[in-house]
Amino acid sequence: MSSPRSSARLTRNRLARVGFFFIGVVMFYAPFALLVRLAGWLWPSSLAGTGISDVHTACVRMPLGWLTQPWMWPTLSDNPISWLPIVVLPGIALVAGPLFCGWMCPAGAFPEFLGRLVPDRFKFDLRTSVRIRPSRYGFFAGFLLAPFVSSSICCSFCNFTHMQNIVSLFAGDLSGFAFLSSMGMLAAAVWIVPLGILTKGGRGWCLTLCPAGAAMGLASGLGQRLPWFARVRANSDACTSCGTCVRECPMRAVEPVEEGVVIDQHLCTSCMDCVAGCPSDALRYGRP
Amino acid sequence: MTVERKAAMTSGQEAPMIAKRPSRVPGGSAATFACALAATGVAGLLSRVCPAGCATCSTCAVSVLPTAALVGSVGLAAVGSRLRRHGKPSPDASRKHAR
Repeated sequence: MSSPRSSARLTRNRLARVGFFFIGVVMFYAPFALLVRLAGWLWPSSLAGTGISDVHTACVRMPLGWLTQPWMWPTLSDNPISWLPIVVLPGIALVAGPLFCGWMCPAGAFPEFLGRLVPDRFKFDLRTSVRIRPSRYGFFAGFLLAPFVSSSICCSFCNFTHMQNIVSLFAGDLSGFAFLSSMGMLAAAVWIVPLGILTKGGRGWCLTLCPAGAAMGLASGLGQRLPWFARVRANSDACTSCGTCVRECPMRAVEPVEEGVVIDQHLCTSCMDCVAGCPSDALRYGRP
Repeated sequence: MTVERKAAMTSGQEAPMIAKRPSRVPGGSAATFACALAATGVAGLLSRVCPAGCATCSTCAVSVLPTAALVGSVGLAAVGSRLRRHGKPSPDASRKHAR
């Protein structure tokens, strides 16, 4: 069971994450979109220089879909900000874990922290009903292949857009209300309710349907065995099998085994909730 | 192994989180992957219903189709995953959970 010291540490970690998620809002979302504005200043002839400063210009999913569409490669090469989800974020995930997902993605954080207001007895555990990793990569493969049978499907279920509308509403831009009256509301409802606040951890959408998360998870999983890359690691000798990390992990990445726990690095976002909440200090973030 | 854990094992009591872990069978992951991939393909095909040819704006009724298929992919993945409940546990799983 968790101790007062570990509980306080966990609370501090979550408050820090909330702070970073607000930084993510300021970086990616209108009316701030500082990252897009910076990219527009650096590369005025790119999409970021068109003056459309919102999350669409720094989209972290469309460029992934463009990888399998040769006719979009010129767009990729002309827009350096498109390399963010293809090179920068997976590169960070390879070296240090998917820190963007765990610390900066507002679309992932919103249902997670909203879900903390809902008692656990109303929630279901995605891990016990779905094999998360093959489901996630199956969807990702379909996401990459879909343009060959139709158009890209990435925007038809975009929770980043819904998050942009929520931020816009709070910023006083009421045009987001028009969006809420459309059928796109279905995707928003699924993102927030069954795969959000009613899923243990609140990250059901991230676990199954987010292509950016899958790309970073793949990079994180590939880099887990390389000795110089940092990940959340478990020390089975110190583990008391109290189950705190299993309960607190938003991504359901901590798997109990006979010797203690193992971390599924394909799912872990290095949010450090398990490290902070472990009463026996059996988890740490670092190199092997 | 810790003192508490050893004590729990010797007294015949399993740690609660370990006791709840389900068994797995080979093929369940492949079935789940295939279900998710197939449902996403259906979502892609359904997006062609859009008269504008894109179905990416999420503002018309057509966008409900690919979204529904995507949600269905999670449901189908759950169906694929159920293999682990009804099948015979793999030797690896039996070894891990033989307690």
